[in-house]
Amino acid sequence: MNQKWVLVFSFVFILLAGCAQGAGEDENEEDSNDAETTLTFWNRLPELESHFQSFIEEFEEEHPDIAINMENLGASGNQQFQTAINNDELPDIFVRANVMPVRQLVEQNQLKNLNEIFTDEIRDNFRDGTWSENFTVLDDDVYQLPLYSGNSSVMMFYNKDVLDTVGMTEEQIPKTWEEMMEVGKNINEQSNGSIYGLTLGAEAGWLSDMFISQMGTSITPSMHTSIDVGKQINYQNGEVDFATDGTIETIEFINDLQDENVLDPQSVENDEPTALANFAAGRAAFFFGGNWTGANLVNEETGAGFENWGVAPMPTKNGDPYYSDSLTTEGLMVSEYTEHWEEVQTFLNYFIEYGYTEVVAASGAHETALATEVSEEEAPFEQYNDITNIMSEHSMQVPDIYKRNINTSGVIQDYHGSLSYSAGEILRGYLQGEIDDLEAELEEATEEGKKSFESALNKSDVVDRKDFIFDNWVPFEPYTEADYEELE
Amino acid sequence: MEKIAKKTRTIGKQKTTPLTKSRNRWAYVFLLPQAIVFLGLSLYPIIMSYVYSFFAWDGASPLNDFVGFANYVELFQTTRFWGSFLHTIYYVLGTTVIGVGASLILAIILNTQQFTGKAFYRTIYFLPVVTTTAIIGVIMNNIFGVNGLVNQTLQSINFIQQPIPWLGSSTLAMILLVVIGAWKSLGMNMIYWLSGLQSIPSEMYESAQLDGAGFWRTLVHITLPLLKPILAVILLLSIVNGMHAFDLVKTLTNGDPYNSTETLDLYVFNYAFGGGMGGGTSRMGYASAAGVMLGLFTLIISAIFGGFSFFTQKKNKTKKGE
Repeated sequence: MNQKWVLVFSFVFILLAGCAQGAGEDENEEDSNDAETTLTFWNRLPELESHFQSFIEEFEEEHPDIAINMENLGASGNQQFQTAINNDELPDIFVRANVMPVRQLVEQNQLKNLNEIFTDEIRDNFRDGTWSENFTVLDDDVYQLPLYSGNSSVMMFYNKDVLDTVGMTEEQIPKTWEEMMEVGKNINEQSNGSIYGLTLGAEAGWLSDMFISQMGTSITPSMHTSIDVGKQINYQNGEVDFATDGTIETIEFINDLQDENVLDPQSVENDEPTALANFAAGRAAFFFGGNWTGANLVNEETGAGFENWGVAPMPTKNGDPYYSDSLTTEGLMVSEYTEHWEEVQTFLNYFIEYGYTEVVAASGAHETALATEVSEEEAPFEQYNDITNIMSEHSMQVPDIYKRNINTSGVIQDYHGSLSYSAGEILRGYLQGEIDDLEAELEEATEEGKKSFESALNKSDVVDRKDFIFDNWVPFEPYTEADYEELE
Repeated sequence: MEKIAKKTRTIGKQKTTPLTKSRNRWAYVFLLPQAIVFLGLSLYPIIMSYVYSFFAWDGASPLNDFVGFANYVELFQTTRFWGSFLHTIYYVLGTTVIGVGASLILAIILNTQQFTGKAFYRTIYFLPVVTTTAIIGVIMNNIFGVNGLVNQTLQSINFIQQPIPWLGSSTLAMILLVVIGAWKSLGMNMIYWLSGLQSIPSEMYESAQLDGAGFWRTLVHITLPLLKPILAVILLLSIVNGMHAFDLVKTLTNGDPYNSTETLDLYVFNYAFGGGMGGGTSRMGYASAAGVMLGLFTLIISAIFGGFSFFTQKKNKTKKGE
């Protein structure tokens, strides 16, 4: 019996010794790298992966004492962030954790204040609107190195090969829905049904949300287009509304395109990359995509490597103007628990100096937050400046509820979390024939949204519906500092 | 009576010899790792999911917003939750009826003496069981997509003009989900049936044959009644597995079209990590409440089924006068 117990203890001892050996090896490894500090870096922006990689290599060459260990987060990125926040184990540097707003992260002591890096002089070099409350700053404190300018817009990409095939010129690119229908029908007929006018990645409901709300502003201008803040809240009356004329008419228009064989039937099942691949392969003449679409199209490794395309503003009902919200959301954050603050500062300063050109502009996916001009020669691809021009033309500052009352952040979090409808998903359901009465469905979504919003408002003692009403806002006119002052 | 009791106690005492004690200790030593794993990785999360369900919690903030039964109240008032419950029931019923029935037929065919190539067919039918469900979902998604293999083939032979929306129609998508789910579990159920079939003494078939019973009569009066205990096990496993359908649904339909194939497990996932269709922040507390309800539904359905099986068997025994 005793012998058996000795055997058990020996076995446990060997196991523990094994663990101890492992720990010793780690220590040795650390000892051997005494001269080097390794910074951990999580990136969740696929469009910047390869550019971050080469930038980091360059940085490490110039700073041999600092190594950057970059991890690209996949589909489970949110879970990874949740676990890291729970355990105070966020990496030294990370692209904005999309799981909770800046205010909450700061309250939980997760974020490092970056004021040391962003002096007033440096801040002045950034584009207007970059310092957005609850995203890049909290009051006057910077918590995020902004990567992109707030300008972001959905636009219409066209395949020049397809236009050539059907004998269309770029002057015939549709500006109104009527023209879109006519051109689309023509393309489908001329190609004997093998080419469609338009293809969408409607499986990505958020992308549909973006173009529905953007096109909708030409009909219902008071509904802002943000999918990050105050979704479907009308800033002129502070009410939730899914069933606006803009949304209804836009969804009906897309449905008409489907009925007339203008819309590629695969659109309802395709995600964004698949739809884009179809577009590049000549399955359709047009594609509604975000400003990052160009970078994805030309990328030979992750995209189609397709270059013969052009870009135009979205067609609207009568060719009337439309707009999208300008809001800087993405950037680099630093963990409060970093043990290498000096090295992190070195990296961020290096990024401010070179990163905007070599990573953000080079990717071609977005406009840089730092006010840098990208000349035609420097442009990552031919159409880059066309995209930024369309973006600048259509993106504008709309009222910012966080700027007015930062406590609205909690209300928005509760409200967004309780929404079980989105215009993009309703579009998809309607196209698939799962929704018979579009208006009734949108009304139902409105009722649910109103209830959620009301309940979130009731929970808060420091937020009122008035915080969501901006009487002096004139849609299509940028909302300025003077407007906020006037409101007070 | 007292003598008997004494004797029993003596026997009991005799049983706890040093050898028995030693064996017991060893048993505990070997059970310990599994017990630790069970406590840490199964029991603790189950208990915590009950705790989380009473909080408005996003999965990362401190757990301090106690909301009582608010998550449950919201859950019961949400049409989408009841929709996903209904889809789960469709899936359970479909996969159980098709999977259990088809696997029985297969097992009977593969159990016949005259059948050649049994090992080959058993392997073929068992292959889906050992294939990762998520992979099956992805492959089937490609096969049944609008421009997938099935539609392309049907169009190339001019059988159809327009592609069939296999995954774009709620009815077709649910049928596909059920059929593929049943096909995936076919091999496992077949093995259970085979073990049941092979445990039936061959003498019974021989005597039936001598009495002039044919295939159908033997099947109805000997095989099926004797397979009842194994049927109860297969049904229970099939129901419990069906209630937890996630990976196939996530990869094949992802709950589409318009949530018409969203099952309870997928509903929990969508709210735990994505904030539902609104794409907002995670609602771990609400998702936990949905998870607790899923657990309770499974328990209730299993208990009803278990109770039904128990009373049926008891009734049969009483009839036989056992």
